[in-house]
Amino acid sequence: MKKLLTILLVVLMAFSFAGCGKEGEGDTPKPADDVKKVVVLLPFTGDNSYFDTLARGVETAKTQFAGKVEVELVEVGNTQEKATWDAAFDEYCEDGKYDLVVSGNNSYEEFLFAAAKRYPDQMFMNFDYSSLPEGWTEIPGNVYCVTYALDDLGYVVGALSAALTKTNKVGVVVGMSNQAMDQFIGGWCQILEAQGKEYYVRYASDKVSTGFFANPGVGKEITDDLVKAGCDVVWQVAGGTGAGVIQSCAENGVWAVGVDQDQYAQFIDTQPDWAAAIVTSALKNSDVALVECIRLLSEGKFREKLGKSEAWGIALNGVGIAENDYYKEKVPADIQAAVKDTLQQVTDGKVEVVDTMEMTPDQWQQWHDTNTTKY
Amino acid sequence: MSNLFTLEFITVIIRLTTPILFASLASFAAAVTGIGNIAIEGIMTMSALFGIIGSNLTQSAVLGTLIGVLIGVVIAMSIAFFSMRLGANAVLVGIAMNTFSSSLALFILYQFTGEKGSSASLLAPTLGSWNIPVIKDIPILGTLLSGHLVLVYVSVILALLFYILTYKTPLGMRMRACGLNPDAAKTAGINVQRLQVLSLIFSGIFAALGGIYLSMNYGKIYVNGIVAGQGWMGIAANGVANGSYGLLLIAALVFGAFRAFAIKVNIPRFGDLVGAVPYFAVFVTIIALAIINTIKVKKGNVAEQ
Repeated sequence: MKKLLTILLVVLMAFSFAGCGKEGEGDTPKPADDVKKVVVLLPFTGDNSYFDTLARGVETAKTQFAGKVEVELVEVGNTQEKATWDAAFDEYCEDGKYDLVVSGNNSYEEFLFAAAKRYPDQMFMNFDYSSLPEGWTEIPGNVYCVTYALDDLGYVVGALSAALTKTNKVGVVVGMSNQAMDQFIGGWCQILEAQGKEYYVRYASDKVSTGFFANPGVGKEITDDLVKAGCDVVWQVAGGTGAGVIQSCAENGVWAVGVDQDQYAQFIDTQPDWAAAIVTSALKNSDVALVECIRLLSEGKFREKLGKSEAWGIALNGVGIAENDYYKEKVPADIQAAVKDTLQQVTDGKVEVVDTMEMTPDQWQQWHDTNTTKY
Repeated sequence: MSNLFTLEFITVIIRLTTPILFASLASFAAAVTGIGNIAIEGIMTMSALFGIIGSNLTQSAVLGTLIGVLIGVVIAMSIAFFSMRLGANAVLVGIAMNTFSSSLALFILYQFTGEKGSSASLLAPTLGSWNIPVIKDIPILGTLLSGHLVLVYVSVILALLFYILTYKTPLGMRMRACGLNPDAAKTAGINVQRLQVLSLIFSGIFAALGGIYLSMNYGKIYVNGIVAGQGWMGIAANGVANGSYGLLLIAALVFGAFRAFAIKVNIPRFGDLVGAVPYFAVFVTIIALAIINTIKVKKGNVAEQ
């Protein structure tokens, strides 16, 4: 028995060595120079929102640039452990096989920046940049950062809410209190302030060890409060907690505005009464910049973008609102026109939208204190 | 702040106490026969998910609830099997169940829906609320007693029934005997293991209902991480009660009230701090009780435990 085991182990080892050799050989002939290789590192997919949008972007790029660019999607794992992410970046940067390594967003960008330091010759793209990690003074020369004009998005949602409200009171439920989340509501507050509406900002503050965006019950309780205060349009920027916001809006017969993806389409089959409350959704098309940058890469123009960050606003289709059939049916034509007009103005830069990412937290707080923000 | 002193706030407390009450009962039910069931969080997670999946498959909220409860019982039985038959440490089995459940729930959710965030794409009927015919028209009493979610009533009824079972029936007395002194109980001819399995099954049912309440009654959707420490709060409530049924209910209510407070009180800039209040309250209560107990022991009023 022991002998058999020994033999088995020896054979196994021999095979594993053979495996190594093969892999090494297979790697040496690099794919023809005109085929670029891109790897996208995401923590996970299947959140039915943000990361899935990016995964769709990967699929789009795969078909659109077939033969020119090879795109790979890697799920690193739903963790913020430095060791895991460092190892993942090492694996894909070490031998320089990939032309472009894509990752990022406010939870994971510090790992990308660290990798950019370790591999100065590797090109990186941060698909959703929020701020420089600690110890950085500027974006390194081998990283391109994409930001989304969430401030403009909030402004447009605010304009729509202001037009829809009959009680002159609107509310927003934010999943978590931080600067990146506040970027959603800066412009929203601004236009409601300008139009003299009462606006309520509520943070779903019931945070627990398991996460911030996973408490529909809290979302519902908060929204019940907002409705009781008189709000008849409530925007949710709260991920899973937002399901409770929409539920409450449906039960109370007020309008809800969804976020990230078209939530009317998300719920129409399973919770039709919820869907009926969703007048539109604030879209964050996180895949648009990804696909566009892969196109630039295939044309050899991506290198020019490195070392800076750029905002993908409404003009570049980075953000927008879902103008689905339900929206067209339920929103009066003049309001639709007004919203389109606002979109145009924001796109043309005719209005200066409050961007909390450009403020210090104190400045943003001061902005609230001097205005009529209600909590 | 003004929204704290309204009748509605009491209904909010009731809504938020229910899952903690279920978890407390689950912890108490196991502790009665001397078992420490710390897998309540895991059972709640699995049952919350399987309630929705069952409801989706059968297109019946009641059948979904039963499937969720069944899963809770299965997990409780497996804890009994591992710890009693195979001789594993019950606490370690509990920890294993908790970590295992959260990952398994994610895996199953993904297999069923192709999503990892929520069950948004599953069409699943959920449980509603109940208006008590005559009482609902009485001004104040109506708001307090009528119109609550179905499982709220179930939790109250079960709490009452379990009290009667534990304290007023021979079976309950035997169960308590197992918890107080298993060797003595064995000498008296009681099949200790069988009663311990029974109490674990009760524990599984209570925990399962707590999970189902979250995903199918209070909320109408399963979101990954929905239990969010409420199972642990139940265990803490049981620890605070230290074997007293009255204290158990009060502790659950207090924790629920703190949660309601944390959600309803909205202080800009300190939202996250207020959100931590319920968890902090649990911590403080346990420390305070430990100190009180130590003082009592020092004075010689209570035998050292």
